[in-house]
Amino acid sequence: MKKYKILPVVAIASLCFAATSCDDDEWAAGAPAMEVRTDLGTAHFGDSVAFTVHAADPEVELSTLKATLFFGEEQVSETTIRTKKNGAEYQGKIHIPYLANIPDGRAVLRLRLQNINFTTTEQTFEVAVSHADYPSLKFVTTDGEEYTMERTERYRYSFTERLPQELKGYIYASKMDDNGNEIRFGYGNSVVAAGAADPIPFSNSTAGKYTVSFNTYTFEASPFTVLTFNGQRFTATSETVSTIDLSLSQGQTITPAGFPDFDSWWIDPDWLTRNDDGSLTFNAMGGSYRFEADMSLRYFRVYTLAGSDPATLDEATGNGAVWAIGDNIGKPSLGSNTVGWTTEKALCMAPVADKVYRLTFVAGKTITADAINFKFFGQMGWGFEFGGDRITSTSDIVKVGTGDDGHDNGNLYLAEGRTLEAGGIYTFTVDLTAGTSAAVLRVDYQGEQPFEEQVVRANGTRLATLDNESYTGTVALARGEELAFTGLSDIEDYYIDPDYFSMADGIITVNVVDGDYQLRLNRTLKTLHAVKMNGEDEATLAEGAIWMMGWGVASPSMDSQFGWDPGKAYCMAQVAPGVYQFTGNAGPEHGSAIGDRLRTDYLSFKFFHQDGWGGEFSGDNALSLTDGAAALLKDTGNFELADGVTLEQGATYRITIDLNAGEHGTIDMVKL
Amino acid sequence: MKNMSILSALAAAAVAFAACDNDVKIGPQPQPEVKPEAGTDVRVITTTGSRSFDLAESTIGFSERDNMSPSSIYLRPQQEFQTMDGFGVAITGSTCFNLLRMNPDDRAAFLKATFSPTDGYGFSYCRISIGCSDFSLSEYTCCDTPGIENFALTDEELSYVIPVLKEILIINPDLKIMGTPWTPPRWMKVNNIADRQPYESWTSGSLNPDCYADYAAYFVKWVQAFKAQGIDIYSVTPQNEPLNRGNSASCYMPWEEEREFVKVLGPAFKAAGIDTRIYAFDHNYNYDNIESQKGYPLNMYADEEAAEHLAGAAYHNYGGDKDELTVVHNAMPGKDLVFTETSIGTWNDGRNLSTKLTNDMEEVTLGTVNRWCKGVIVWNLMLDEDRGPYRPGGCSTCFGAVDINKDYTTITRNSHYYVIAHMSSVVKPDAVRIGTEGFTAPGLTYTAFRNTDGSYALVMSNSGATALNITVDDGTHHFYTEVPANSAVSYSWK
Repeated sequence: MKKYKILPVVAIASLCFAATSCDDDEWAAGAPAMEVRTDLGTAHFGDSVAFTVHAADPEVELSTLKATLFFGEEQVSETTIRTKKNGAEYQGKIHIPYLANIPDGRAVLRLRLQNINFTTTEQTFEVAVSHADYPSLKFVTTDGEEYTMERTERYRYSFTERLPQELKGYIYASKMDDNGNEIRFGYGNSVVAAGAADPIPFSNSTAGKYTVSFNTYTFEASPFTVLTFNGQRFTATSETVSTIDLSLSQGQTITPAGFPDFDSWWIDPDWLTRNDDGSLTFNAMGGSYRFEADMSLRYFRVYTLAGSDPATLDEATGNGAVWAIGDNIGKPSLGSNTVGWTTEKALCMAPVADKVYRLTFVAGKTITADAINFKFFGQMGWGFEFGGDRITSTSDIVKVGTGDDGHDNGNLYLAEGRTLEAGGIYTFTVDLTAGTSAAVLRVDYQGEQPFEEQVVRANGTRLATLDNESYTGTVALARGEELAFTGLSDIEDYYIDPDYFSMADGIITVNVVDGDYQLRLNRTLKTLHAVKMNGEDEATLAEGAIWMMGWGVASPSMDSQFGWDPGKAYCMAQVAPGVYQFTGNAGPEHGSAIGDRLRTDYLSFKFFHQDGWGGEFSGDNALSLTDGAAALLKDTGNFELADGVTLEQGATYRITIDLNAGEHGTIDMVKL
Repeated sequence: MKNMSILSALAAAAVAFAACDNDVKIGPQPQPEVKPEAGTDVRVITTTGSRSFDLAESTIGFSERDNMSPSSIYLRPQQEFQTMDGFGVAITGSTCFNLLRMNPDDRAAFLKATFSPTDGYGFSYCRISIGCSDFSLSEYTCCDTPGIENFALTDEELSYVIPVLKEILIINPDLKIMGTPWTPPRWMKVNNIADRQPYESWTSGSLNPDCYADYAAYFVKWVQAFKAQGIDIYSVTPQNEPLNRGNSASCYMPWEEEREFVKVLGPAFKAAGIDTRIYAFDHNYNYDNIESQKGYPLNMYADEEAAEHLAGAAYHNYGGDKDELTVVHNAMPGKDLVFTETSIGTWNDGRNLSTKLTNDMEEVTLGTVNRWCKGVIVWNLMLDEDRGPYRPGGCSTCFGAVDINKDYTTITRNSHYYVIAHMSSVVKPDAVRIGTEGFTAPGLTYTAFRNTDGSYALVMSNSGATALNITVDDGTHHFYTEVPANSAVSYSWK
């Protein structure tokens, strides 16, 4: 400000003097001259170029030395130095802006020396400006966490780590030479920019391991995945689930944005219909609802809200919400997310009319075709429930147990000799208009879900599927040989059970001993598992299989813990004769990532001779712990974490059973 | 206040300075920091909303410096969009009436300035009515006596429209002409196609399906009659504003009926050796909010037989949003789009160039071309200062692209003239719209083209309150330019 105040005053004084005196002898133009004494040849974007100028005027006092930088014809930087002393050397620096998408080239630096009578002299110089080739960059979060962004190719930098869903911070490029500056890339006007004040708000569709990248030429950065419905943002509630609460009317259009690979998402027909333009139409009655976007299973779980809590049933009026809990049902599919008796997974029925609630299933996909065993409740959990004294069924196929008829009270079951038609669409409608003690269940067949089987083959063997999602088939595998799929274009994106197989460059190699294995492939979850087979039956210990059950162990993530659930035990991979293996990352119970197969803070598991109860490695037949295992585990009948031990989140551990060692075999556990 | 006092002092000093008898030696004053390169490489046409630049011609030279400008617009000629048909106006009966009242020399000068591709703005596409429009001198068709054998051009064509077109064609022989009926002959109309009761009205009613063959013959005869006058008809639409039952002349023709008529008209053209293009619809983006008529041309394209005869669809902007053009293009990318009517008038402060210039650039020309339109045609070229002549029931509040006073000597150019001129002067027929990337700013809209002679054209609109300094780079050359506030600027260079 000072410069601008003074300059006009000098000009005015000079002008007034000249105008009033009208005397040529008392006014002189002067002859400012400058000698540039610095090599101005090259610089990097973001540098501050130093210059030294000897400035003199034999007749008139000097005023200013102004340095102006042009990119093309556009002025991009300027600095002004007061030149109070005549015949002196002046030093200055001019900043070379670092902007996106500016090619290397010759910028123009103009130095203009001016005396107090406005007489000027100027010189221009070409400055070859280029992008620095930084060996690495640094990302620093607003919490102070630092990550090194490695150079992957010219201009491109990235790092991959386990990260929260939202990640704010700055990218730093270090000073490269004497004229260089440390450059901080921040965020402003919705773009990354050098010197921008705000932190860069990276966000991923899920928390967990992902890559943050930045291009020092284009300033393109990623990820910036923002999940929205009609422009309203979802909030991450775990590593894989984000939620939003909305008040909606029936038939309202919802425009989703930010959901990766959204075309492949399963849309629950009870709540939503997908439109040709990518929007969704809300199908249920108007009200407040929570949408949980499950990025792992790629579907929206929807349920009715009362305030900010899951709605419950008003027993007096029949208003609120009805929930289904139990076996043989699951959305988006049985294979990926069976409800079971895990109350947190309860399915909320969509209100389709006043006091009328509906669930739609597809037999073989979201409901088991040949057996069902679930029940309706008045909340997402235990409490009010529709026992056989409260609800009756009008269906010939689906019946309600009374507790006296060999079926649990209120549990739904299939009538003797009846099954649901595989591929058939069934609506289960609970009508409470006559009161919550006189509920009526109606089950309607709505036709067959259009199904054109997509053929998937493993080593030439066609895998069976009922829904183009879960595929199974038994294939003879040989250790060290390739397992090749046809009909799958994205196998590289799959989670391949790391004990059975390894994958490099898209080629899957068998790690287990030769034998027949049933492959279990899920195209929604993008997972591939295997089970040792004995003919058409699952193998037992005698045929080379050891089975694991318990809590804190899971595959592919903690969302799928094995539990003590016969028929759903995990078949250990026999990687050498008598040697069985289970490898996984340690992760949290909730919000774990794919590959988190061991819980950090709680383990309780045991090994069995078969997929369920029966022969087991315990008591007289117990496995002995190696020193490595003993450092992490204790045998309490089940294997649990040793006292004071917590697994390191994100670290990889391997459990190995060696039946060739010890009296009855050993168990080893190591951090890889 | 401090700045004001400094300025006052400077002014006072300047006065004293000027009063001095002697020449005062004063050092060179600082020059503006940057000026566009002197040179003639780039032709520039500039109009501002204030008319301080009024289709002002200037030139710019290519820059010798490396282009490192952060405000660069890069042309991407390898990215090609639609091929352009042209830009122009409607030559209505009223327009011709006004033109023919001008002194012949004045008219010739105006038409040359408007239509000459070399010495004028090169308007290249016109729309005329088949029979009357709401800017005719009467209600009529070319076959008002029942029986298609009674077809004949009328005095309005023979004495007004055709003489004017002939004058224009001498100036611009490549002018494209689109024909559109506002109504079929009344004897071909019925109250609706279910009842098919006679409907003796210029407005509303439906085309009697029993008359499809006669009406197709009517189109054929009309095209042939103009051909006989030396005037080629490049395109037609079956019905102006087919969902509008009002106006001074109209006919309600939902897509189901236009589809069936096109299936007769197309073969009739083919049988007569006529290659005139047929464009469907010719009405508003919002289909006048008639649910059953949403996606009007797309519904017609769904019928393969009808689609075979349709070059594309035409749109007006009296309802809805131009984004519908993109929707229709994406749904049927193989079919053309052309924008065929918009008007300024009292309802949109149409003579206020300061508000209309950039708005019409954004909505009418650049806005539709950036959404796949091959041509842009605005409504009346010329109306008089009283917005006429117009028909009872028609538009009494419309302004022309130019207004002429009642002594037929003074012409005032309105926004529609400017926005068409800014396109047609640099974007020549068969130019290809090409990709651009780079600098954007609020209020800045632009489109680039490659003409058939290899030259480039760039048309920009800046609705912002400040000028924008921009470098335009075609990959071989670049130049630096200032786009004034509230302006339209056109560039062409090789």
